[in-house]
Amino acid sequence: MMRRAPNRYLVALFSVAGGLYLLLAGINLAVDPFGIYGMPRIDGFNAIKVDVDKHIRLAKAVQVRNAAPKTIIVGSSRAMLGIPATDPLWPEAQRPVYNLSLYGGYLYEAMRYFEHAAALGTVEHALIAVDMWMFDRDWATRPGFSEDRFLVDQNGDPQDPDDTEILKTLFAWDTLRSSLRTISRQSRDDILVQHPDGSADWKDEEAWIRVKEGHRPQFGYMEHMFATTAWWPDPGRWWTVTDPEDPQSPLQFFRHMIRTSYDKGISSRIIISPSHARIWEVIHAGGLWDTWENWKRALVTIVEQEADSAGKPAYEVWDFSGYNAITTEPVSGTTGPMRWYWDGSHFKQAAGRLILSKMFGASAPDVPDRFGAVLNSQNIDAHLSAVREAREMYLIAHPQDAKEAARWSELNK
Amino acid sequence: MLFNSYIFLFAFLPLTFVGFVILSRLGQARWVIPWLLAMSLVFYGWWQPVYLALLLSSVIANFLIGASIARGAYAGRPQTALLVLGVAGNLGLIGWFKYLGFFAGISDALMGTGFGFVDVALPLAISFFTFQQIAYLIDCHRGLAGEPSILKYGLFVTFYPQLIAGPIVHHSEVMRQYERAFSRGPSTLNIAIGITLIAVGLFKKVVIADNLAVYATPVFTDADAGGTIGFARAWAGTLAYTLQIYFDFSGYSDMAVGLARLFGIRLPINFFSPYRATSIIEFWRRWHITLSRFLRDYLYIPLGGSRHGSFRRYSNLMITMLLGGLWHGAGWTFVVWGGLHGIFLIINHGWQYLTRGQVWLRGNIVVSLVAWSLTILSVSVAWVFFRADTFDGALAIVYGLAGINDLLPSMGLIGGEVYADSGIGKRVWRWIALASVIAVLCPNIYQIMRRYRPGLGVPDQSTRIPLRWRPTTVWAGVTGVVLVASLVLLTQVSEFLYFRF
Repeated sequence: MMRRAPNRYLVALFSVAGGLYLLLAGINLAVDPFGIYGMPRIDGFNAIKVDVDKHIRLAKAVQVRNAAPKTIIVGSSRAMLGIPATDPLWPEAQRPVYNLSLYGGYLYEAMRYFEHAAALGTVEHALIAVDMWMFDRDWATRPGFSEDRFLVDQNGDPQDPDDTEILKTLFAWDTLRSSLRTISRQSRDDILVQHPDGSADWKDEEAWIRVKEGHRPQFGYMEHMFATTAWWPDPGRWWTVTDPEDPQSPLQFFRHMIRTSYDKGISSRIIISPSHARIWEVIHAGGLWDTWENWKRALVTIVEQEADSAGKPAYEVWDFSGYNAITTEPVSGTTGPMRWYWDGSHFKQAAGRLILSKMFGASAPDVPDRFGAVLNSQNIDAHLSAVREAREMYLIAHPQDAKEAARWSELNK
Repeated sequence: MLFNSYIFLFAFLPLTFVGFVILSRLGQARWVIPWLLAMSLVFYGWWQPVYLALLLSSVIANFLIGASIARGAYAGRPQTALLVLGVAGNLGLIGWFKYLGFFAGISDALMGTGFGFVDVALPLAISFFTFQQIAYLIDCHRGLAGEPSILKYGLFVTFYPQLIAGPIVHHSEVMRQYERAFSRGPSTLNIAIGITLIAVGLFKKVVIADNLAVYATPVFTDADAGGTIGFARAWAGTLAYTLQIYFDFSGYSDMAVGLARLFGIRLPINFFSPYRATSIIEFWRRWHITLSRFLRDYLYIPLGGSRHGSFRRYSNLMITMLLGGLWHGAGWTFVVWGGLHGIFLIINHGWQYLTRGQVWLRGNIVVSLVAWSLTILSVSVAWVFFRADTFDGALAIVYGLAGINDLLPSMGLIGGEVYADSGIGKRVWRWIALASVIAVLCPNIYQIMRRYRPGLGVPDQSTRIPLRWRPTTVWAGVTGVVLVASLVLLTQVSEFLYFRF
């Protein structure tokens, strides 16, 4: 009798532990909260992946492999929220499109995801959406980034991605919490919808305004964030865009990405995001206007140099960051909606569609004249000087915005 | 390989155990020692294959020297010179890898020698396997040891449950177990006890210690970076770390004891509810027991112990604790930590001397509570020096604990501005309360399982323990839940704290 007790104990222990472990994995698998197990999306149950942002770097590395896209979008949250991957404006021959942009995406991360996708062998086109803060040398890969997920290692050699990570998430408490949140939040209206194509969008603007207390506070919040953490040079912080030859400069990552693109025969376009004019005022207040212009020059130079080396025509570098009816949209107060922006930094998909219209030459009545210009070494000086003039006009026409922007200068003193 | 990793729990451990079962079933028990030795070397080499050669050389050299010394001892010709050579060799090895940079720094500062920054990578577990082998050599010289089989000796040093972070086992307590345990083969009772201890140890590490670390680490990081720490945050960080290191290290030790038990081996226990101690002397009988034992038998007593009057006794105590501190890491903060405990112990012994014969002090609940509070306070403050990377960081926390930055100025007791701390939130206090209740008020796993002799050296306790483990379905269910709770939190694999030492 006594001898059998340990046997029964072990059977019971392994049954309880195994049962609970498998139950947890079963729930996680069925809900697939990060969209990485390839499970069906069922409306009202798990169609909207509300928690995918917690594992966005893992999710996108896996999802892009399954999506086998012809076109990829790389960039930061601006490109993720602003540029729809599924849209009739994309030429038929370039679909399917996958949006590989990352929240807080540092340029090095964008480069590694680009290389990863390029190694799939299906990618023929790329939209590289860049923001200047991504080029800050003191920025770094975010928590959750891992080199082990990619199809190529850091030397560009093929590697097998470590898929045990996917298995580990299946058995994780963390995933279970996301699974339960996913199920319970399907019908809410104040959620960010992460689409299977990698793009994301807020489900409902009214709910967004309710939760975020309106567009104007979000403009202020984002400007403050940029002023204090992203753009203004801390003591000892060095914007390496001033030295494109510095081997540690993130510009080298940009160069590497362009070179990979030419090597792989991928047809790329580079775009500078159409953030709101108020965000450029933060740059100005931070004393970074020259850096900002030099950065644009460096992008053009690198693209043209790499095109020469590859013996191919230079990729188009589109600057959407100028002053026009889109980027100077009046900022609404705490209640009203906005047509083109969530906050000063993040534009809406409506604006993203204008970018697509402009680039693909589609006839769209909404596209204002001065929205987007293709830069090259011949026209860039004239372009930058036109932008400077347009800024003067903007300040005159929007005295309230100019006054609020002056606060950032005060903060910089 | 870490005990709290998937590769260990789901591949390495099952593989070694299945090998053990197969060899036993085939009647090949004599192959169990070579099998476990080989797997222990794999375990060690997983991280740093380079240092495998170092470990093997150390094991072989000590085995040969030990054999010579033991032969001499049996023949009545003490090989003292060889012993000195052996001990010096071991100390030289640990000195080279662990203390070279530290002493070069001191030499540079005092004598301007200009060695500059010397950084030698620390081979894993060197502090542990060095100590075990020094003890072995000394006992060979005393005629108390002398192992003729290199495989058995090799397993004594490298047995993977204890190799990386202890318990520091004594040859006399494990070597004689090997043959009997391995020839008996696996037993379901041993497996049941082993898995229960593993589950409890893993839970203490990943559920409790790792959650406390979330709060403790930023406070120390901030202090080391030159930040100012307010009263509440200093206490939260200090108490969280005090509990973190206990749950981390004792969890690791419980796992080690449980892992060895799967193979029928009983390891000495390393912790016995240390935070229940009502004096520093008692604390050291309950905290890292196998290290205290080693320091007592191979350092304090050879130094003269308490045999030469109270001045020598206190000096010996201080030397032992300072070296014990240095053993934990080559840095001044560890020396200060050891020194503080040395002072605490001297005060404790002095107090015992002064109050001898005061019967009313014993068993008085109020006195016990005061004594416990003083003990836990002293231990916690000493941990600040143990945890901080820099001396300035430690002082910043101590200032915070004393309320110098905000509490005292706000009460008008001292001058200066009241520092507005960023605060630390409420959750940390919940974790501290929960962990304290478990550490101080609940019986420990060795008490709960006492009837089944889970490890060696479990103290006899006359108090009745309301919870008693037995291999019943209810306990199986509880253990199963504890195990799964730990496994599902494994994704953020973190190192056991004692890997550094």
